[in-house]
Amino acid sequence: MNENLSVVSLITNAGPLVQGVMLLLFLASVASWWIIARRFLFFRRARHEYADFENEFWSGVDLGQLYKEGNAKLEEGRDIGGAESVFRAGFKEFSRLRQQMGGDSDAVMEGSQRAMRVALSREQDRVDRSLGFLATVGSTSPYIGLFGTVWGIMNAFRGLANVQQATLAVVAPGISEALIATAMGLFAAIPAVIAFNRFSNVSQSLVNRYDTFAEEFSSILHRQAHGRRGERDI
Amino acid sequence: MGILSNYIVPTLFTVLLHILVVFTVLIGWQLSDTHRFRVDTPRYVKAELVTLEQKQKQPKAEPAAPVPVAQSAPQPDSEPSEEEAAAPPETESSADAAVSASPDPAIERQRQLEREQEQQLQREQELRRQREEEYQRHLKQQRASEKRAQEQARQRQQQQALQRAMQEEETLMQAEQDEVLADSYAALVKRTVESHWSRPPSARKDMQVELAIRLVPTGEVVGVEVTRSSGNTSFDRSAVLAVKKAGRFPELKDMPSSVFEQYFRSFTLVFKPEDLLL
Repeated sequence: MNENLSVVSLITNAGPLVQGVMLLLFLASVASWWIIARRFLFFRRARHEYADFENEFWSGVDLGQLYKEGNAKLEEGRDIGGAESVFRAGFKEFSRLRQQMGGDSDAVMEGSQRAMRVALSREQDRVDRSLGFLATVGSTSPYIGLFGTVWGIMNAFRGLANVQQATLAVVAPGISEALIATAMGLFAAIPAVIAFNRFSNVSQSLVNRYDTFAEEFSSILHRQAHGRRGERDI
Repeated sequence: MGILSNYIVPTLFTVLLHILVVFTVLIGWQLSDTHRFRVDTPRYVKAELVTLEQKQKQPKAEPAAPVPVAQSAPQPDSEPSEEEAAAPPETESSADAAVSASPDPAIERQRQLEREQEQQLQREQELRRQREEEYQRHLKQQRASEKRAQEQARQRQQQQALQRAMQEEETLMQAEQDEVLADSYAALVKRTVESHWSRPPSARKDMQVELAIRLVPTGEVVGVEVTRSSGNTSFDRSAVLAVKKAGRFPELKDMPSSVFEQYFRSFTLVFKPEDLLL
């Protein structure tokens, strides 16, 4: 009875509820690691894209040209995110309003700023996406594991009540198998919590940068709207 | 391309990571597993062996039954004496027959007599043979019954030995149970006393005082003495005071009196400040 006390036998001998808990935790761990990997790649790419775009933007290139490049990218099927989408929303709205309203620069500014705000909030949403799942896994999976453990230990002790000679060897396998649930819960929770903290930090800084960029860009637009016309060809 | 790297890379990474973790756990577990259980199993087997030995000892005691074999030996000696006692009546009856035959004078009669005598002799011999056979049968029966008796005696003895063994085992188990019970009560008493214990500041970790507590079956403390001092009088006094403060242990009332008499009439309590750091 003691010899085959491997993890496999412990898991297969566990009660159905404990097994369900273990399965749930394993799936949670898989899903959270999947999301961690995806988010990691996403943030790396977003930072690179932001750096590239900022370089391009402040290199003095014609903004209309930049917009057209973005159009070409869209046609290629690549999605555009981050600061570039903020820029595109503001620029599009600005040029459209400029054509329609002509001289009313306040209305043009207001419209383009609103468009940028909308794009910014959309970007924020994109950046924060599925961090909620990591937070959920990080905070609940220890409890789920604990639940499985408590249930398993409960059963182990109930079994102990029916035994004449109560030795530690009677309950030990049950407790051991029950504790696997807690171990799995912690295994799922710890990376999820770490990743959540890290990613929410990164996403916050990214959104801050987008926000700053939107302000900078709107100041340029403001200069264009209120300043001397035709200095910069928009 | 973007979709591929978006989905396949994370999926591969996740799957590989989990496979790695599962394998690590399996291997690590098996390593620690064999290590631990190689230590554990012999201990378990040992415990079983002890009980087996106890059971084996008592059957060994049964073969002490050979005593009845020795008893059976004298009995055959008594039988021959019976044979001797049975023989004389036969000779008497043959003498009577001779007396009744003697009055006849003629040869024929003599011959007849001789014939009769011969017949009688034969008859006697037959009788004797019959008697002997009877006797033999009797003997055989006696021996058989003796044997049966012996066997019964042996069986009885075996049963008695078995019963004795069982009783011994029961008393042993009873003693064990008593001990466990006594231990639990002792732990209870110790806890109660320690909850009343306020240690002097001079108490150190390696101090130890042994108290002899005299109890009555209602659980009341009737006397406390220091049997082995710690060398620090205030420490000793604090321990004695703790027992006096505890005063009585009402839980001891529920204890079977045999356990009480054996373990708690005079009860030794060791005070050790285990939770101190110094």
